[in-house]
Amino acid sequence: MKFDRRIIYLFVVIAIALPIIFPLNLKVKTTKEVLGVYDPIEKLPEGSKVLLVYDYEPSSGPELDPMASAVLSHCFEKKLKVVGMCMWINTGAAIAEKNMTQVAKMYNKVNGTDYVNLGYKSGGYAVVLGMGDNIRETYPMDYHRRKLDELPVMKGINQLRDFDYIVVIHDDSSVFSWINYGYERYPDRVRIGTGCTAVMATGNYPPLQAKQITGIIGGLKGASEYEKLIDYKRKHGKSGPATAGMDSQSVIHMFIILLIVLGNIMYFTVDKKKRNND
Amino acid sequence: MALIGNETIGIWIAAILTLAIYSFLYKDNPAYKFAEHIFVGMTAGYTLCIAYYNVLQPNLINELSEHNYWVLIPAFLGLLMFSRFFSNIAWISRIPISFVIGVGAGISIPYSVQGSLMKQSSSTITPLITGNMSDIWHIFTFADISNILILLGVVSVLFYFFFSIEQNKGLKYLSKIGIIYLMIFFGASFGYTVMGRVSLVIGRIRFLLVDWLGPFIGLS
Repeated sequence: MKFDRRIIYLFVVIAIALPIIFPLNLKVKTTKEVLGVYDPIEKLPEGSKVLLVYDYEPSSGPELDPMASAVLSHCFEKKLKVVGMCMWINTGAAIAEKNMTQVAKMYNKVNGTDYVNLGYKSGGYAVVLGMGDNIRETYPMDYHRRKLDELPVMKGINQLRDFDYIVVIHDDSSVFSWINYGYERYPDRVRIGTGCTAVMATGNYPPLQAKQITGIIGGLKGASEYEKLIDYKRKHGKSGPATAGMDSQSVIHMFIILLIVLGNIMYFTVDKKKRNND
Repeated sequence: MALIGNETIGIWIAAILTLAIYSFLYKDNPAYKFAEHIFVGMTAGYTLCIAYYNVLQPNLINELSEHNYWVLIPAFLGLLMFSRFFSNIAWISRIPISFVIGVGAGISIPYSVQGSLMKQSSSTITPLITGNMSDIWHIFTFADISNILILLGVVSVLFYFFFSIEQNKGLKYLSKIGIIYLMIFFGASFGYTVMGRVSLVIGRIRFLLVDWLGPFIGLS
């Protein structure tokens, strides 16, 4: 049986677009994995230092940008000092700059005083090892070519262990560099939470189970949970981008389940000989 | 005003390129090819700039200007990599490659063994029964059940990949349990993958409907 797959594409577009135009406002239930990132940040006292790692490409932006914005909003609400950086994907530097500037504007935060973007540094795990020894040697300057010693936000931050919490948002396996060369080096001081694309989520559960990371924000669903935890809708007067996307996500999942059921029915109802010929 | 104008132009360019890329779903066409070539060119240009300003300039040029000539050694090793373009001296590129592999392995093996192998193994070895032994209804807690399932999963999947002896009788059933565990993992991964890919489409369609067409159709 022949079926033009472009018809399915059309239905997918309709299934995604309709909930965007007519929001369903479906409820989002929080999970302990996302609370594992939210709670450590929530418990930090004012002025604590958080390292936010933007190790992802623009192609993962629809999933990870809302996540990064939610975590950063939470940090700014708690009046924490945030240091952004990337070390695995070079496009992360520009993503970090855009994301931090946008969120900082909403909370009237000053670049260099309340937050800073260190930019990209090549070297992969060597960057983590270098930051473990001396951040200023690894990153002499920030994204805007300012010396770190001149930035108030960097006061008291000399090594990786000076950060009170690290959130690694990634679309590859960079969190394992942070675990192996950060957490394992300073297990009593370094605490890591991760946010990742849905594709990567299952691979992040073993370190969670081994208590090497405190929690996982997995994909758009995880981001929507985080938006709920920080009460995004009440504070901004509208649903966050991840929560809004979850309506479409739910509809499209129902559509995919329907397609799987229909596909199986068609498969078993077609004559076996004809099926083999096809 | 100029900023708003730039932003609007940016949104229009992004929207047109998005539509050009998605036009491939109908069939291959020049608009798709055009957008694809722009993407490849932009990526190459961006990576080159990043490599210069974030790697070469701070690590080599700035260091040389401060009379730190030690950096000439890694710079020389880096230059040797280009010998791959000449077949008669291509073997020279093995020298920097062996250096990178040697250093990389030396650094990563101890940390990987500690962080991945040892830690994952030790987190599997946990007490299986932590409940109240005197109370028959509370011998097992949910955590115990979870620990037992993890242990069963680890052992059965390891046996599934154990080919040194014939898998018959008891071992056959154990490896079949391993297959069930693997299937559950693949199913969960596939479910997450579908969610991830759909999220990307949602992001693009949301961009088209809200950021691009939003001002015209009243969506924000």
